Formats: sequence, structure tokens, C-alpha cells
Amino acid sequence: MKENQRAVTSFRGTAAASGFRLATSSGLVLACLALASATVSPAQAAEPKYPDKSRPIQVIVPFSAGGPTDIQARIVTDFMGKDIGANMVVVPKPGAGSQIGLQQLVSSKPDGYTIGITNNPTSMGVYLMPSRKATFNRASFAPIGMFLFDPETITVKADGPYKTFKDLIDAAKAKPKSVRVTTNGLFSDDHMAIVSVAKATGAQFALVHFDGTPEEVAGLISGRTAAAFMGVGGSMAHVRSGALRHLVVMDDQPMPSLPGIPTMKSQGVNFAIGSSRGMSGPAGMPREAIAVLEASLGRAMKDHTVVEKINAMGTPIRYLNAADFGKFWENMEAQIRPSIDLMLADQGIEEKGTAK
Amino acid sequence: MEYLNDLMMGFSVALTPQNLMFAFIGCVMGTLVGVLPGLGPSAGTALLIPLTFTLPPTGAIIMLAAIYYGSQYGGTITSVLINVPGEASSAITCIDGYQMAQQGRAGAALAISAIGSFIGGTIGVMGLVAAAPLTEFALEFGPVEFFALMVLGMTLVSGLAGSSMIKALISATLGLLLGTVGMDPAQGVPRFTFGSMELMEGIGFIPVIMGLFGVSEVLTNAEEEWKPIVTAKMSSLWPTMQDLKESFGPICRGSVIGFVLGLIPGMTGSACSFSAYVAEKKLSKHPEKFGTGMIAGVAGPETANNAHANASYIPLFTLGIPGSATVAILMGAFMMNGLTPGPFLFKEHPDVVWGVIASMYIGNVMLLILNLPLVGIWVKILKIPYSVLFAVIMGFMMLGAYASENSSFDILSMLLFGVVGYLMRKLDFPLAPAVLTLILGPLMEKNLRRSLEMSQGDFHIFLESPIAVGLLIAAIIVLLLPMLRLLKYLKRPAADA
Repeated sequence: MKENQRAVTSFRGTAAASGFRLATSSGLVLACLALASATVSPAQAAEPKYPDKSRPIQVIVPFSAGGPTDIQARIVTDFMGKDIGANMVVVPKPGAGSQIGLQQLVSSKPDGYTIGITNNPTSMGVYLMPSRKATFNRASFAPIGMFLFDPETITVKADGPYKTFKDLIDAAKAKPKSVRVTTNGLFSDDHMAIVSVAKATGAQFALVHFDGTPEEVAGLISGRTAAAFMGVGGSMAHVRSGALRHLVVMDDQPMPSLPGIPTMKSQGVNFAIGSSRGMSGPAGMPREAIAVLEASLGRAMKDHTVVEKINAMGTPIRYLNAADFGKFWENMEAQIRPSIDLMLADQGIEEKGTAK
Repeated sequence: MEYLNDLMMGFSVALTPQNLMFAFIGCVMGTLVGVLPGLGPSAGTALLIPLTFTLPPTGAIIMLAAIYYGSQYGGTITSVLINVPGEASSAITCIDGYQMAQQGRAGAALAISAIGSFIGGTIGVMGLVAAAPLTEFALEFGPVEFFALMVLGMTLVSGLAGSSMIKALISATLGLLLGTVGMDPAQGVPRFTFGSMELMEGIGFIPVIMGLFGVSEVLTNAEEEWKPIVTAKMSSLWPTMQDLKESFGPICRGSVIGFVLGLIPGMTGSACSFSAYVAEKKLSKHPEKFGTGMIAGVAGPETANNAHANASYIPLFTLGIPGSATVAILMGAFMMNGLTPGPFLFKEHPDVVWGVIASMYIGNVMLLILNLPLVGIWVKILKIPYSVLFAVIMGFMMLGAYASENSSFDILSMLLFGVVGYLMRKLDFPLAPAVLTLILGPLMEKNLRRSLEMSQGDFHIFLESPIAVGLLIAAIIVLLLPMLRLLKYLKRPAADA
């Protein structure tokens, strides 16, 4: 492990990043790294190394301590800290739907010793909605890597009247504004999904905003609500127990863990969304630091214990390296801009057009 | 009978030396979390979750669960001794508990609350065992029923009034207004945030009660000459027979109130303890004596918040729906260890569930044993001159206000509400109504708007639910009762003439 670290650090940005892309498909990188470590020259080794072990790396989590993002961040950084030989400290800075923590992240010194967790599309919503007056945007962040992606689903009661996506949409069209669908909060990815589906199909729902996934589940089980827009992570346990069932999943491809559940694209609505967890630093962070953290995050997502713990929490792992995560971010942003406009219009907020 | 077997198996898990140790550590930490003002059970549990990463799953959950119910014991201590609520759910205990301390009866107040906590906690755990049928009740509570319950809760304000009903209503209005700050729950429009990011999610509840009760207490005392807090001679540390007799009813009622409300997801411990206090005051033969050191005003709420803490595990274990903020954090700990709370938990991991439940029985006994002897030590705190004690308390309150959200804004907010609380005391406005409406107001609004989202604006939805109708009728009766009395009073002289 020691050798590998040195290799990665002396390797510098691009090489390590491209080396890592190989690693996701094969074990080739190990050979690469071993080779590199053998050729480290004394001059290279003398350069200031990242991370400086005497300095802690702060990881800002813009959500409450003890919440899923906080726990996932702790599981991942626990491994990474040991992996790169640094002290990584998770600092929850909740408030204003992640705006407070993100604000602090982007305004911190980009030296690699302050990084943070970004949940998209939540984080995007913060800077795309003009009323938030956020002082940052996509360019304020330096992506390090994405580690989780929880695709959105439409979930209903298992023995309820809706067997397919079409059933639900037909019902909502037959009696507009009577079919109750729920989100786990205002301006969440659930909310974005509902307004987009409504727009694409012409269905009109009665939209109810709850506080968190558990209330959505209670609504479905008691029969008070018809369908919940929620992530795979929050619904899976109840689907396994036989209480609830998925109608569609809003991912690009069908998920192996959800056999027989069609994607929404296959149902004629070209829209995919989900909640992601990524690691990012403030823009301007040294390439070297990004490379070290990126590689370590990649190793974390292959570590047996980390994978097991994250799987236990239910949110599917999806690793993307820094470059791919950046692209993913931009694609998602392009896709949700119209959803945010729809959402604001739906709320009767008089500000058309997302922030640029 | 099957349950009994399972429970016995649970005890065999909970009684292993290792798990006993985890329960003990959790109880001690919980007591500390309770004693430290500002650091509440949800923040305390969240901060300690990382420590459990390396523990075996059952041990980790036993410990975290113990921190939660342990904090409900500890929260009383500062409320009684120095009028600073250690926990939001102990805020109401300040009113009579602190008066008892002033009369030299701090020992009795603390002992009774430990005993009440034990009974309430144990009843809560026993309910867990027989939980299955009760969860149906929890599911009946949707936004409509919750709103009706909050309306009934609002009528409790009348029970918290001191000398003047007008002043109590003004105080209640202040709490309601404070509760409207932040993003509105249906449209997402910022209200009274003045462009501040920190106010987007509303005014933090913990800094407000610490300011209103704690900081204002320090300010009030600073006016007077330096003296020990309690001048009255300290009477026995133990409750008298009379105390025990007077506490029996409140403890029973507190257990029921806390348990039933604990089953409803979204209900807070503070709402339970406030309800229990008002219930005692309404039922008492001497309601006018409340606020002067009535032991019933300590026993009822302290029992209720413990029954609530334990009962709020029921919807988690049976439905996978966490009943309170702290239980939601515990749910995270379950998931992290590969245990998905819900109906399948009992089938798939009976050893863990029953082990945790059994450990809660044991933990409540531990806390009773731990807390009774400690009463003597806590009471000695009162011998510290307050120039020293209050400086320390202010330090802890600042730390507590900061720690729960890592936010210095919360410290400022606490200090500001300290000044507000001080002015209210000087002008003889009761603090409790403001706190009650600040708790209930946002819950009431959220559920009202959610209900109307469900019905698309049709108010008939409140008449379609029998539970909601029952609760609303109860609220009307509570409001009308004093008027009936007034009518009788007005009729009497007429009859005489």
C-alpha cells in the first residue's frame, strides 16, 4: 500500500486519472502502479507531497449528522483516510437544503485540505433556483469522483390498483388532480421527477410533499396516497417485504437488482433522474490532490468492507472518476434545468428561467 | 407466549458481559448528553455514530439506543437545579422542578423523576413487546389526523397560563410567529428570512429554548447579589411518603400519554411532556399551586418523555418508519449494519431485535440504579457560588448550541432569545406558551397544508376521518368549558336577585 501511495502521488494528475480508468475494468493498474513505484526518482520524491500527514483533510457534509449522506461519507472517508495515510474529518454543516455547507466548501482555500460531498441534483437545485441567490455554480466545484447513484422509481402499494406505469397515468388523466403522488420534500429530485412526468404525459396529479421517505412509505401502506416517487434505496426494503412494488425505474438501463421493472424510457417518457453522491473540492484544487483522492475513492469502492456497508444501506454504488463525474454532472444539469422551471411554475413562483 | 420465549432469547443476548457493557456505556453517555444543555439526544446520537463503526452490530445498536433513553433521565437534572433545560423534552420540568429546588427539595424532585422515568420507560418497552396490533393505530395517523391532534394541542396553552390569560396568549402568539420563519412548507417561499441562509430552515428550536429558559435565568440572577442559588435549607434527598403518594397518579397518566403519543410518527418528546404537564394541572385539585413547586408537575412530564422515547421504537421495529428524529438516526445505524428495520427484522434477525429490546429493560434498571445515588452528588452543584456556576453553564450552553449543527449562528440566536426571555420574565409573561406553540405551530401548519394538498383544497377532508373529528370535538370542548363555567357564574347572581 505504501508503494502505491507514493506512486500515485508522484504520478501526478493525468497519468493517475487515466491509469485509474483502466483499473475499473481490469487489474492492469496494479501492474502500472508497481512499475511506477519502481521508477520513482529521488528528485520526484522530494517534492512536497499530498497529503501532508500533519494536516487533517476536512470533508464538509452539507446535511445533518447521522443522516444517510453523513454516514455514507464516514464509511468512505474512513477507508480513504487509512488508504492515503491522512486524517480525514467529516464535518456536517447542514442548513438551507445544503446551501450553507456548499457555500462554505466553494469559498474554502483550494489546497486539497477542504473537500465536500455533493448530492446532485439537490446541490444543483440550490444554485439553479434564482430565489436561492447562490453565489456558486458548476464551475465553482472541482469534481473528484462519484460513488453512489440512487435511481428514482415510482412505487405503489403491492396489492393496490396500479399494476403498470400506464395504469397510473391513465387514472391521473381520467380524473385530473385526484391521484395523490408524494415526494420526500419540496424541490427534491422526487419533485423534479413528478413535474417532468406530468409534463411529458399530460397527466395531472395531486402533489403531496412529505418530510422524508418514511412518511411516503406510511402514506402508501395506509392507502392514503396512490404512488410515491422515491429512490431505489428508500423503497427496496419495503418491496422485498412485499408491502410495496415498483412500477418503473428512471435509470438509463433496467437495473439487475430490479428484475422485470421497466425503465421509464421504455414506457415512452424520455427522462431519467436519481440522487447521486459525489466528492468534490473547491475549483482550483491542485491536480495532484484530486488525483490522490480520486484514486483512493476508486479503491474504496472496490474494498469489500466499504461495499458491504454501503450495500447494507440500500443505495446502489456507482463509481465514476473525476472526468466522468464532471461530464455526468453537466449532463444531469442540462436535463434538470427544464424540470426546475416546471417545478417553480407549478409552485406558482413568478420567476421564470433558471439561474445561469 | 411466543413473545415470552423470544424475549427470553433476547435477554440471553443482552446479558452477555460485552452487551451489558455496551448498555452501561450508552446509559452513562446518555446521561451526560442529557445533562449538557443544548446537546440533545439526536445530536448526541449522531455525534457518537462514528464510534460504533468498529463495534459488533448488536452492541452498537444497544449502545445507541441506551444513549437515547438515557438522555431522557439526564435532561431533568439541569432543569431542576438551575432552571436550564438539559433537553427540549425537559423544558416544562423547569417550572415546578426549579421551584422545588428553591425550597430545598431538589433531591425529592430528582428522585421522583428518576423513578417516574423508570416506570415510564419500562412501560414503553413492555409496549414494544406487544407492539404488533398497535402499529395499525400509528398508520391511522396521516396528515389529517395529525393536524387535528395539533389543534387539540394548541388548546393546551390555556393550561400553561400564569396569572394572566392575555399574557399567556401573547406569549403563545410570539411562539407561533417564530414558527413561521423559514421556507414555507408547501410553496417553498422564504418567509421572514431577510435574505439569510441560516433562517431558511426556520429558527432552531434548541437555541430558542436554551435562550428563553437558560440564558434569561443567568441574566435574572446576575441582577442580584452573589449568593448560593438555594438559600433554603436542603431537606432530605429522598421523597417523602406524601411525595410518593402525590406522584402515583401523574406517573401512571404520564406513562399512558407518553406511550400513546410515542406511537405516532412525527410526535416530539417535548409535545408529550407538555401535554402531561397540562393534564396534571387540569386534573389537580389545586391548579393554582402549579408553578410553585408541585411534585406532580415534575413526575408527569418526566415520565411521559421516557415513555415516549421507548414507544417511538415501535413504529420503527414493526413498520420501518422512525417515530422521532433520534430514532431516524438510529435507523441509519441499523441500515449501516445490514439490518433493515421493518416487519422482516423480527423474522430475519430476531436475536438483534429481541437483544436490543431486552437491553432496554436492563438499561432502564441500570439508569435507576445509576441515577438515585447520583442525586446526592448533583444536588451538591447547588452549593457552588453562582458567579462560578453560571459562567460554567454559559460555556456549556454555547458549546451545546454550536455542537448540534456546527453553527455559530445558533449561538447568536440563543443569546438573542436569552434577552427576549429576560424581558418576558421582567414583564411577567409566561415562557411555556411560547415554547409550546413554537413546537406545535410548524407541525400544525405542515400537516394542514399537506392535508389540503391531498384534497386539492377541500376542507371536507377533515370531516372524513373519524379520528380527526373526535380530536377536533375534544378541542372545541376544551375551549368551551371555561365559557360554560362563566355562564354558570353569570347566571347565579341573576337567580339570587
